[in-house]
Amino acid sequence: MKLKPALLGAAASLAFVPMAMADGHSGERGRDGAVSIIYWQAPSIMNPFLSGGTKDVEAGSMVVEPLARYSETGELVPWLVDEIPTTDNGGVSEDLTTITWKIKPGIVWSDGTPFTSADVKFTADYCMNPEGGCAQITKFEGVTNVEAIDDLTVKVTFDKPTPFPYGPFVGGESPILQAAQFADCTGAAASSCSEQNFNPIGTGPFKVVEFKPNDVITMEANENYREEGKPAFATVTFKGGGDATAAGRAVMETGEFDYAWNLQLAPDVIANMEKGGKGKPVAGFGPLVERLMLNQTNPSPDLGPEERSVIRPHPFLGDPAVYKAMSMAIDRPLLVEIGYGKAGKVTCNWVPAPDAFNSTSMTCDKQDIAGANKLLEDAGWVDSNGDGSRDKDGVELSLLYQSSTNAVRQDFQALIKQWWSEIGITAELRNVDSSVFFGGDAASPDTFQKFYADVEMYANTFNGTDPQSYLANGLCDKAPSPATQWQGENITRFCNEEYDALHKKLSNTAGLEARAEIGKQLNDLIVQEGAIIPLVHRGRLSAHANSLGGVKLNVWDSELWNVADWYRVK
Amino acid sequence: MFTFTIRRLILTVPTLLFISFVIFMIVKLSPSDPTGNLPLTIPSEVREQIREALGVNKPLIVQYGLWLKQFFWLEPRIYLEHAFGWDLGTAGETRLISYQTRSPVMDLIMQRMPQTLMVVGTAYLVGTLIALPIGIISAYKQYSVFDQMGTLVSMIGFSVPPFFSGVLVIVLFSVMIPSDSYFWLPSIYDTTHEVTDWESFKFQFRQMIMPVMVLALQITAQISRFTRASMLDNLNQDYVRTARAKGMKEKTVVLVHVLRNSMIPVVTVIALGIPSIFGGAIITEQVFKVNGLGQLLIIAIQGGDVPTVQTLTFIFAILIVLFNLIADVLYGILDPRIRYD
Amino acid sequence: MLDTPKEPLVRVSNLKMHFPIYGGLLRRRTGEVKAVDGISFDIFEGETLGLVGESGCGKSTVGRSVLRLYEVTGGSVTIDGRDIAHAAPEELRKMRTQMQMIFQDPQASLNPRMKVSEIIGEPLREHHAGSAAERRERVLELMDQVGLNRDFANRYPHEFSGGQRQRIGIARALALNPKFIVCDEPIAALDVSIQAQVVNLLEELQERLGLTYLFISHDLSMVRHIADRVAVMYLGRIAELAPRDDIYAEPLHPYTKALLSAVPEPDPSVEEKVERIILAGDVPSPSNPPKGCNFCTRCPSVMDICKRDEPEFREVQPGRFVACHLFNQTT
Repeated sequence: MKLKPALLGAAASLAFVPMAMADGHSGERGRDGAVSIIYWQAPSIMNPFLSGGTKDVEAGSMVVEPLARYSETGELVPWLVDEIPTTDNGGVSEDLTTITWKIKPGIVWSDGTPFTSADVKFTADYCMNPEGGCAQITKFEGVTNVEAIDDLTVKVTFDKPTPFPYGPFVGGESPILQAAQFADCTGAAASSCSEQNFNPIGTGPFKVVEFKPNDVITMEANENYREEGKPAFATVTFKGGGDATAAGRAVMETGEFDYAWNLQLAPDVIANMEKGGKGKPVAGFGPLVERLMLNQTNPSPDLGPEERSVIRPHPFLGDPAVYKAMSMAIDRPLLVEIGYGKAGKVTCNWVPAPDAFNSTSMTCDKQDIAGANKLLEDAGWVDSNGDGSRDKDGVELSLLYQSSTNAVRQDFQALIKQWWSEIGITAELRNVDSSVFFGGDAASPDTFQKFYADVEMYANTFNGTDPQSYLANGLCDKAPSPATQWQGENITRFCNEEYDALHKKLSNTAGLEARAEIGKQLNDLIVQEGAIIPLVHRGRLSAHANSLGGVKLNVWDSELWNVADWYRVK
Repeated sequence: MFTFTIRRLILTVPTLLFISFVIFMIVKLSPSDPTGNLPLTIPSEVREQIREALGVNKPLIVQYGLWLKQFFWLEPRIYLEHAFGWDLGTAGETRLISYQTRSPVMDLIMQRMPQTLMVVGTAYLVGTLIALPIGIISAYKQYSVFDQMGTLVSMIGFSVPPFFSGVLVIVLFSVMIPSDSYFWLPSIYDTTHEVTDWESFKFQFRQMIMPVMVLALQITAQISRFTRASMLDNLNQDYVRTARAKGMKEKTVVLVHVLRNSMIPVVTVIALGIPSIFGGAIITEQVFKVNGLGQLLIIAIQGGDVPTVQTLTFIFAILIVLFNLIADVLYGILDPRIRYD
Repeated sequence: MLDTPKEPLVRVSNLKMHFPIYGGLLRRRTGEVKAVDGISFDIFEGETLGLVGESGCGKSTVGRSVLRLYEVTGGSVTIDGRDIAHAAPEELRKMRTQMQMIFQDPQASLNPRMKVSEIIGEPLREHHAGSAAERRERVLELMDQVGLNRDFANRYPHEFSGGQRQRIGIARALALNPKFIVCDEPIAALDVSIQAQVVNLLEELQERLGLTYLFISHDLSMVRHIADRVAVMYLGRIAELAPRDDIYAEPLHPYTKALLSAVPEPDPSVEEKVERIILAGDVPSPSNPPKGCNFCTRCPSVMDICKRDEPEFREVQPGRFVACHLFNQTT
């Protein structure tokens, strides 16, 4: 690797350079032969703009690349540019409405043609075409104009001050497509371009030889890749399909594959596989949190369709004693142990990562049944009719607790139901098939958006490292309702003026530290006001063969972000 | 027989149309969403735009009509163009596109067909070839040790699901046996492998052993039981005694007289089972990552990919109707007592 | 024929055919059905021995055992001087050219997937080396012999009527020029109008080819018509064996008497006078026959000894054999 510290962003170079030197692996391109990767969800398409599925984004990331991406520590690193534009270096305008990217000179596509600003502009037009059904359109939110100033300079203009302008062209979900290849594939024609969508021309370390949708991708090293001696592997077999168990087995037990993605398996299963001795699991933690969402509206089936889970308040979940007791009764370390093992951590926060945004103001790692009982007792909730659940003014602490169908979630449901019963709250459990639960069908009563239950449990996360749009999921006007065909991300229907005001402030603040401070306040507010009970900070567990070197599990971007640096341990 | 076949063929047209409509409505009305499997980070407006671009929001009858046109009119013409190099004016028309891969469904099916036929077809063949002798000997030596063993194997084949037997053989042959051993077998099927020489043939053979045998166990169980029952029916018939009284060799009695008659129902059962080869073996394909038609179907169902599900199930329906007819015709050919005129 | 010098072609002595019964969890042998329990008789060359008895008395089993279509439990069967019951399989197969069988159900006994020419020609191919054309000629000749139209050679059995099918069965049996044919109720499944045709055909063939028959039937009048001597079976044993005229004129065994009294008389005036002997009770189970004489449970002339000792099957008059204690005392 040729070191150009002066050209690299300061933060990136610190993270990057010493490791590259320490690895000490170099040589000619393709020296290590073949590498095989298994994803138990099979990629359907190589164009991330038409899918949005993680498997497709990550498969695509080996071929098509963004201008900048996130490193394994969650920091922005320049990729096809020389430096990250900031207000300090003048790349972002003072009024926060424009960002100007300067492309690294000399980059060529795998077909040998030069990579220019026209490709970048084309990519923006491609995704922003309203008829294309672009899955990554949110990356381009607020973009009014993308302009190619010269061959290597692109200027993006936003409709309002955008303190975090790193949406377009950053991260695996927003790579650059080749204008020449996709010229005829814009708008409604996007779907019919299977040849282009399966075999995109990219700037990445590999290029597609054969793409078998939902099955296997064969790739070979890109001879026009910009870095000398990379990638170390000449060919890649990217197999898809099956289940996480089989994928883990193929890497850690039989040694047939070198890398297995996202092993969502019980901790003891992973531990057993590790004994196979052929590979090891690696964990990485993004902002994914398994949480309980508490309905802030009344989900009573007695209400009509226009009112159910629409009108406020909830009969009892608004009482701080109730939601605090519910949280105190939960033994989070036990949940982590049985549900996620190495791939889980206790958290009290809605936004547990990146580190700067992780609030430390609350603790919740100790179960306190007695304390929870006392809290309810003091608030006047007693079991006056002896039916096992506390009540007050004729309102019973009895709730419907739903989740998607998934072994770990059903274990969690059973445990939490037990703990709650110990503090006099009865829970009725329900689980819904995940394709229905998350399916978003406005006609179905079983979607998580409709929330026809008191409590529901699922996990959510955000892409990239900035939680602003994720924190927007707590804004009043994002609540799903019949008026919005039950669309909207504020699932709990949390509504708090202070929160809305604080979020507005966040959207006008630049500078990481200040933003992190507001972010933590927002996090604390929504948790303390009882809209969300965070349970487990979930990491992602992948496994690689002992003989595969250079893997740096990255949860902020594609896991395969540094596949160019992978090599065979000799 | 000929008029019978023609009459039946004509009758299948309304049947198939009805089936296609029922399948369409079932698939459409089931609560699935092509954007359902996308990460939650993708907001609902974007999902709506994706659905709009896929045409999910059009009236059902329009979608059904379009599917009919694409399946019965456009795709056959495209096939003919590819096969004979004609120009039937299909350029520019929108083909039957999968929601998931945004590529023509027919291409996906054609791509999957070889590995499914290779693995499931071989399993069917192997299973049948094992089943016939087992069934024949079991019946001839009813209640012997061999028969009892055959019964046991069939019970196992019937009762052990492939997600158990498949994983069991993987643990035995891929995990417990070291990978440098001669007896080690790959647990993941390589669909890109091409047989070009003896070495690559050996590899293909090795990677097919486990999925084929797991599937063949089930097929063997069914067909051997059926053969046994049919043989037993015939072994006690008077004509068998006649053959013995004629002084025929025992081999002739069993293999010519009894077997030929016993095969009539067995052959029809085998014919009726052939569509299931094309249906693939959803579970076994998943276990060994064969990624054939069965896996295509299950992924399409999970992904709410209506065009793929609809087309695949409909093709299975065609095959089932067709092979029912073939079984009937075969019956007529094999059994001189049956005439359809 | 009776006056020709007699030479026993078939000699059956103490033939036993017991079928095992399995039961219980492990399918152990728990008993046996004594379908044929020690019978002996001779059949002379060129004669017809009628074998009569009720359904289930074991007469068909006798027919099949004699040709060793069953593996016999005990006793011996000699046909033309060779022991059938103990011959090695290959030897036996060669001996089958000498002995053939005509079955009761002409439909079931013909392989439905073979054409008539194949059915008749198969034994020729198996046992004789003759060319295809010769065999073909022989098949057609046989069809002529049994009165079948030659044009039907390429038809399947189901395309024929019952009588025609039985003719196919006869032609098939004749194909190898056997000396001895067991006719196992050959007319039972046929219409009455056809029965006579088939019986006449059998008689005609016997005359022409010098065949020896074991004619098994429950139809006493048909047996009277065709048989030279008649054996009456009851529960796995022969009760009485005698020349036809003797037995019909003066039956000795109480069972024979009862059986013959059941035959309807064509003359109504005689019919009225016939005194029917109605036997009480049912035939005992062959898996558990009564002790002593097996007819003792139903015999109108039962004596104490009958319930104790098994009567010997012995010649009480020249050519007449009876197994009954009534006659043991008289001699």
